[in-house]
Amino acid sequence: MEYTKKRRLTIKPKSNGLEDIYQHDLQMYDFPPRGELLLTEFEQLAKERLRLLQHVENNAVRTDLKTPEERKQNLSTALTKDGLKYYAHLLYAKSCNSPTETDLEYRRKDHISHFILRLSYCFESDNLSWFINQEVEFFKLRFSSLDKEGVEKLLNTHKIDCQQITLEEKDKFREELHLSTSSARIKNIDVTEFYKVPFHKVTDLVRSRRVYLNQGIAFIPQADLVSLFASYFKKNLYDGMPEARMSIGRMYGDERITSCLKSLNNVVDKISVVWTTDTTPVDKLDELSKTSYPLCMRILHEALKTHHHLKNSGRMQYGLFIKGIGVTMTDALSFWKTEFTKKIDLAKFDKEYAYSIRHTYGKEGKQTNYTPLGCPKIISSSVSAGEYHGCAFKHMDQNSLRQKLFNYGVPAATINEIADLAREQNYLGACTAYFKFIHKRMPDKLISHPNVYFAESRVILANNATELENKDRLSQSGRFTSPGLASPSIGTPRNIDKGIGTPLRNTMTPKRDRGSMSSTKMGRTNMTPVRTARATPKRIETHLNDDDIAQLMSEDM
Amino acid sequence: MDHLEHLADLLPTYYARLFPFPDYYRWLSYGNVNTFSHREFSFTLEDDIYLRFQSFKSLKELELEIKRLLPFKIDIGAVYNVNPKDYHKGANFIPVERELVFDIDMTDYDDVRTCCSSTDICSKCWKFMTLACKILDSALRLDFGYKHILWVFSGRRGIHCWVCDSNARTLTTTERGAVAEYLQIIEGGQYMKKKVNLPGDKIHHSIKRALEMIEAVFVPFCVEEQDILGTDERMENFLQIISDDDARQELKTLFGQYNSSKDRWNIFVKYIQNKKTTGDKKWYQYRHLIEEIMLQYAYPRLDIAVSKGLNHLLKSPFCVHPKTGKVCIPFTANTVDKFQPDNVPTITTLIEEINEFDLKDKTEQETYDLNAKKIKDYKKTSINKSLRIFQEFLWNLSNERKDSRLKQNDEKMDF
Repeated sequence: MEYTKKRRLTIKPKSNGLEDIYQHDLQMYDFPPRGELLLTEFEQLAKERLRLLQHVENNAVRTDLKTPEERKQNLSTALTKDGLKYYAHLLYAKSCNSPTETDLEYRRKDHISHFILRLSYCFESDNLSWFINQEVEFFKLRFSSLDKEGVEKLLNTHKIDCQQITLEEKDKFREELHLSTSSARIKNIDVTEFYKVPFHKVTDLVRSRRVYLNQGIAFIPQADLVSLFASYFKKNLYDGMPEARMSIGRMYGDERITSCLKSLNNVVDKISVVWTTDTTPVDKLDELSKTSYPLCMRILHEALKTHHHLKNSGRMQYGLFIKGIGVTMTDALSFWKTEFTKKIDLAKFDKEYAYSIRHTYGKEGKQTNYTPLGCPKIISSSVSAGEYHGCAFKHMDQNSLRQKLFNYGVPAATINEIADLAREQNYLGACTAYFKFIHKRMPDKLISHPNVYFAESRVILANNATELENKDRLSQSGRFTSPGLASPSIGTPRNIDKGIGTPLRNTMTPKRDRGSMSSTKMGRTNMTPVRTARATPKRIETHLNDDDIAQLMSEDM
Repeated sequence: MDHLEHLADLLPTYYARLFPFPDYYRWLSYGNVNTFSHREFSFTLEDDIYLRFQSFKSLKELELEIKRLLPFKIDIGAVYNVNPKDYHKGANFIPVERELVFDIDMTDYDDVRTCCSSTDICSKCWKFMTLACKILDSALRLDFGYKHILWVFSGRRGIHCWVCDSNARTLTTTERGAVAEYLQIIEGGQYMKKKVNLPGDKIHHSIKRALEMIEAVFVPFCVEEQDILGTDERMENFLQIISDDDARQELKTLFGQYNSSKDRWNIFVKYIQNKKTTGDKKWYQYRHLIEEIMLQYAYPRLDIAVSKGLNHLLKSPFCVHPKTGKVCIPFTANTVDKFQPDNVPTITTLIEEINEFDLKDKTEQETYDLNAKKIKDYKKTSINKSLRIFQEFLWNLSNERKDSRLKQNDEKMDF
């Protein structure tokens, strides 16, 4: 992969050449682009692809769009509106036959821009998985536009290992194929082609039990081939990353390129935790849980107070949240201790639980400074019998949710509103409705993180309190707001800025800065030491996702 | 503190004379020394001293160290790219291989078992484990094609499953997650009363197979023995699964007209089937309800976090559980019906058995003498049967290795 940048225009390659390189509308990006590119075009292509991926992400989180067609339509509209017509075009591209010059030019842009972003995203695991997820999502949507010929050509070009089943096999497994494949995918078994692939190539179908498995072989209908391709595509991207890192190494000397690449992934520094910098005393948590906690945390707090115990995932979710709202480690230890020792003796607490609390604060084990979990993570968490964590609007059934809200004094009309939103899987909407009821007004920011919810709440309550001082105390009503007003300063976030105050980011940003600054100097003398020094610590992180945190915390005990 | 009395006194004899070191090594090396030497072991010593990232170059080294440290508990972790002992602090330390494991613990059944709770078990609730073992074993063999499956009693109230096929050991985290989630049907916490939801009109073949096994025992086991509809509280728990207020109320009235759990179950089944035949407007939401409830009460409850991670630790077979003194012995799914935790040998009984044998042996030798062959210690004890199961498992593994080596050689010859 060699990117050369030139300030003067080079001869545009003839489209004939392009036709050989870009034989298909849908690319697997299995070879890097060659040739020269203007720096301005380099930058422009990169920024446009980034915008594309952001649109893809926004599109993917829309729960109201059910079918692939609806999703594509929505994305296409957004892309066109944003001046990314060529991506809208590629989104609907059918196949490969007789491409026009415009087609080829679009394919070239697609190719180059993808590889530029690879360079920018290949280092940090958070960024990388974001990048790959969006690319895979876009790939899937595009795949659904292909015609039969397009699919076959893709199969052949990339030598994807899958075998069509014989008529005998189809007869033999007719009943199982019928039972285990989604009805929407097979109207009639006789006219559906099935393919045999090893099950690990279609993990999404296996995971959701939408495929017939026999002796480790998955029998997938034609309509599900997209899973096979997407997993091939994804593997391809991951496999290409070491190469991308090497290429970065080769161009450390060029500040223009590195700063451009750096600016690209800064945009996706989107972890939007709000860390509360004031110290929150633990004796205020009871009160805060009623005034300023989102429902998920209120329920955890209540479960802890009632049962004097929370299982591991619950301790994680709630422990990190209170860390985020400004409970110090010493306070957190005494808080958990007070509750747990109502049921178990102190020695057992010290032995089995204290460690994991210190771990949460980065004082044990790998010393990672963990960030409070955000809504997507909480919504997708798995919850088992006897557990209270997760998203209240997703992981509570309608009856339990309604009962709980009723117990909290929410009036019937609001309960209906919230429960309906939850049923429609609009969890953030339901959470916002709950916020609105508690605070008698909407939050100023989008609630996408429990700690954002908390921060918003504190700001509003602090303002209310200031107003209150000027007015008559009695003019305020509402049993939910009043306890919080007594202590408006507690837990009020001082900075609501994205990056600042986030320890995780703080520890990383200087590292990144140091790396890129020194790279200009060292890059010319000796590449290798810089690369290993920078790259290796991060290798551990690629093996550490949030699930591992939970695991580590339980196994380290 | 609440350990078995004298455990520390018994362990030296156990590790010296009973722990099957050579077979253990044969298992964890899978015919390759590096597979063994890059494996993480972790030891819990007396007084809860915890040693992670232990690794050993050879059988001898492992044996000496275990005999020296006398661990109360041994955990097995992943095989890493480098040996864990020297390199686990290094940056480039990556798990590369690990058996696909499943952990089933009786405490996860607390909301459906009525005979015991928390750490207690009895022969009645052990049937949940029996059923879980059979259902998982057949899914792993038939759906995923795995052959080398080692089932191990966890020492107190659960079972572990080690899938040791080479293609299982090399699964990635994502792939393990997919297998685990495929096998996990029960989902939802304290505030999700209905924990099984089968989508669509049809039932997946794997669940259908599990249902056949459950249906065969559901009435005698769950309905009658566990008596799931026997008291007001249990009926209330059961009824909470039904989301529709009217149906719940009607069923409550119906249940009141009967006295036994079995009669109540039968009237429930009839009531739901009736919804279908009479074309009730809401019948669609009841289409799988009977099956869903059977699954909720009897399908395996997995701790899937254990299965998903490569680097997760799991207690080793042949450990002695420090509180019960029971040995974590292997068993097979075919004979799981006969397995009873109460019959599992404890370290105390095993050592008594050896002593008795030695005594008898000594008298016999004095009387008859003879250069009688020395009998291996474990053969004198009730652990013998479990070791035979373990050896058969190892024999199958090594046979497959031989076969694949032969096949490779043949392929080479062709060229």
